[in-house]
Amino acid sequence: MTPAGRAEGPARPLKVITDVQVAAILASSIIGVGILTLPRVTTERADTGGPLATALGSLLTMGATALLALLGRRHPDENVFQLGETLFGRAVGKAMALLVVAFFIELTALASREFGEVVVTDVLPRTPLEVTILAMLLLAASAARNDVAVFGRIHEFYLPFIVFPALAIVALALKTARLINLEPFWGQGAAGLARATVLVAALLQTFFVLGTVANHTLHPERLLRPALLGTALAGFVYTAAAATALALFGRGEVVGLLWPTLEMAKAATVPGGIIERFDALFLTVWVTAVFTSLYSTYFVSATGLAQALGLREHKPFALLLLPVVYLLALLPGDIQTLYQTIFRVAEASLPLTFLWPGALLVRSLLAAYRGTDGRRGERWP
Amino acid sequence: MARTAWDADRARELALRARLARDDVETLLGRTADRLTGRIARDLASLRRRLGRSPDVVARRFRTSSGRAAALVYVDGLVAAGRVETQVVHRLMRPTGAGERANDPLARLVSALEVRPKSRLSELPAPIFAGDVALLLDGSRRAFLLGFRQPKERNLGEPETEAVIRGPREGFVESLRTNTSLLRRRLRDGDLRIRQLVLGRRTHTAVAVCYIRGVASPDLVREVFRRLRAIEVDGVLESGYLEQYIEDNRYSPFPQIINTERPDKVVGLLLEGRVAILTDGTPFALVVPGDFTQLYQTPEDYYQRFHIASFIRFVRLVSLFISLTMSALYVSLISFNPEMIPTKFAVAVAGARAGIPFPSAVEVLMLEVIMEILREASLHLPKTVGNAISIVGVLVIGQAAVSSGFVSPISVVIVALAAIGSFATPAFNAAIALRLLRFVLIVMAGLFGLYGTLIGLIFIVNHMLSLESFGEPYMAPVAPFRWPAVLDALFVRAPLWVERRRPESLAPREARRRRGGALAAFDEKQPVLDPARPRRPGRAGSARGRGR
Repeated sequence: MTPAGRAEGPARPLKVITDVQVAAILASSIIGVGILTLPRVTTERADTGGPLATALGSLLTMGATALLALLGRRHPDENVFQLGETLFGRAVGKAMALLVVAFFIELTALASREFGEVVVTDVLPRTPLEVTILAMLLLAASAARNDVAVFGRIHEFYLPFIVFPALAIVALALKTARLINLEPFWGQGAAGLARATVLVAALLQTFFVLGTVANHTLHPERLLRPALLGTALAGFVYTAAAATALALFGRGEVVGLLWPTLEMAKAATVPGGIIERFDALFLTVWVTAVFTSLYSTYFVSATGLAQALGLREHKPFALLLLPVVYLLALLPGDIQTLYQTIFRVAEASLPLTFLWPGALLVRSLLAAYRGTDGRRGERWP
Repeated sequence: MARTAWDADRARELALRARLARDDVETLLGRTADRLTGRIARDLASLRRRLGRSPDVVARRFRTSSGRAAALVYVDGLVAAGRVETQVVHRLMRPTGAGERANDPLARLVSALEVRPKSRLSELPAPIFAGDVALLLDGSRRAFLLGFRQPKERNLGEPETEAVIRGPREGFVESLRTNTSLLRRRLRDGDLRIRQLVLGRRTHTAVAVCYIRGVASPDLVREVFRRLRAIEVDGVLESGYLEQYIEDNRYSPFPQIINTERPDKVVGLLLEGRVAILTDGTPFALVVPGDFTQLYQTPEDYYQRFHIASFIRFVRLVSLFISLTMSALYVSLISFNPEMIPTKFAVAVAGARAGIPFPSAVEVLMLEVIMEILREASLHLPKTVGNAISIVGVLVIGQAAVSSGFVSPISVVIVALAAIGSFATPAFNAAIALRLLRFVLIVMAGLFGLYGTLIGLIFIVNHMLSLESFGEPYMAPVAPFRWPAVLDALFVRAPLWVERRRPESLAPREARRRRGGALAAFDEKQPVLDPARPRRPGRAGSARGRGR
């Protein structure tokens, strides 16, 4: 418990993350800026099959989460970047770590830009985009200087403030929703549904953060359950948002709205008339959600970079990364190119977050089968 | 027989002379000036040199009944001088009675007092200044410290900063011994350990570390000692000195160590597995680790029935939140998002603000500053004047400012609300911290509206989540989440019979507070005072018999 006891021993990582925290980290990391656009993009691709595609995409993500959880159970003392080096050798491991880091830096930048666009459009029309983005990035960077124990606590603390208001908005919007708008719920054919499902999985990739906290859990042996629960919670919130927006507006209108979820919040009213409009309130809640996701991607980037460069501390990278992320965030010219970039980058990186953990797991199992257990120093000839 | 006794005396005298000669040489060489020589004139002179020649240091010289020169050295005012006179001087000067040994004056004293022999001069000043009496005897190479302390003490009274409606009216005082006795009285358990150390190179302040062995985590106790021993400072005037040295994050505005004047609160916290630090000279005890929930809880919560206590605790939590955010929310809603508030109210606000020359952020900031000045002013005035001044000040300034069009009435209401919210926070230091952060939030709100307020709020909460006090996360048990404990921490004060475990975050040695589970004995209804209850013939009969 003492700080002195905490600093010792480089071999054994800090064991502080509770089961509740595992679930909270996953849920609040996955629920992020994407919740605003998701109903539109799924409807664009799968028509009325949007909600179904969201659910399927969430299931897919749960599968990938399970891969990481199983890896964490087999190797309770190494994070996903260290495992890459252990199982595939230093060169391959470091290269993959750098690749993941590059992707997560870009993901952080794009998410913060998307966030800035929403704030500037809807809440602060006279404030420059650059200031809005910088404020959020500073927040994430300052938080990322903390250790993993604080990381767990922050996610745990904010989760209720993200999930409950989101569900409240859904519940309030349901009053005027028409279920007929959801028919046919499988959409217009398998091809569109598949494309939408892949896109959803691509937008939920923040689950990869599990790879960097799994080695800090108190109970790696029962990692699977909280991990799946957390991802399922996020998937549920996304699916509920997609379904409600579609039921409220109908497919024709959803496609025409830039941020359907935000419009949904505007449509919601509360009995009693204390609050006239809900969207500003919703946005404040959503700022929290964006912060937790950015914090996670930022944390993954800093941890991965430290590992790839052979350093134990991720703290210095928290501030070093800031200018890079900031410049990348300002790169896309307008909101149109921004969204094109987001989808392209997200889908291009799917192999990294879905297949790479799978490859690691296969290699680990193979090593165990050959009796080497895949540990450092016990490499097979 | 007689010859051998003479030989022994002679040998002793020779040995003494040899020693004295050696001492003279050593003193000349400047080596052991610290040792008492046994020559009273020289010892007294060097002791007085060490004590400094002040009028309050008394050296009383006299001869014992056997003609031996003696001296008493003490500080006037710290010592019960009358008792010294009767119990030491009189006894030593009185002719020896039958069976008493004339050449052993100590034997006549030990019956009554605490006597501690010391052979080094450097060991004497600290106890003398603490109120002990030093007795020097000619020919003795040891001085004797006699306990006759009689410190001037304040009477036990109700602590003003932590008044309760229901609960003991006793608070700590400035004397460490009295304070530890107040703890002992409430916790008559051999496992209550009080370990003392002395801090402050010049003040030599006694500091007592109290914990319950078998309940407090040994790691925690060890860490408390480690941090206390690391303190290197010339003076410790108040427990606040220690607090600032041993807290985890010295730059945080949030208090990470609990301070209290109430013995009952300290005992309650000790029972949870925390460690208390009492400092001589101040009624404020420190308790570690301190977490955020402690800042809005009072011991009274546990004396009231749980519905009432839960409600009061909820009110405090709300007022804490209001005190931090109310003004900032008002500024951001008025100047950035007026569409969020109901239209009629928005129109009313706009109408009231029509003639105000400043933006709402400036207006609220000015009012907040005035509020702080009034608060501070009322604090420093005598109590009787203070209340009147503060009321009149707020009324006059508020009323006049509004009617002159300087500020809008709604702003005054909001700022007043925030101030009241801050006064409802039981911990004074926490209330100050939140008021400080309120200014930051108002500025953020003035710049970026709701978005700015939220960014600022997240920043503050992140900071709170990152704090730890002696290994315990500051926001425990909310984050890290502990199921039944979180109920008690937020607004519901769980009924006493439900709370069975000590806080997990303190890693107590003994997790359970209460052995045995249900309240079977209470749940089983007994027909007490029931007229239909069958009477036991024997007792009823005898009672009637006695009545007659």
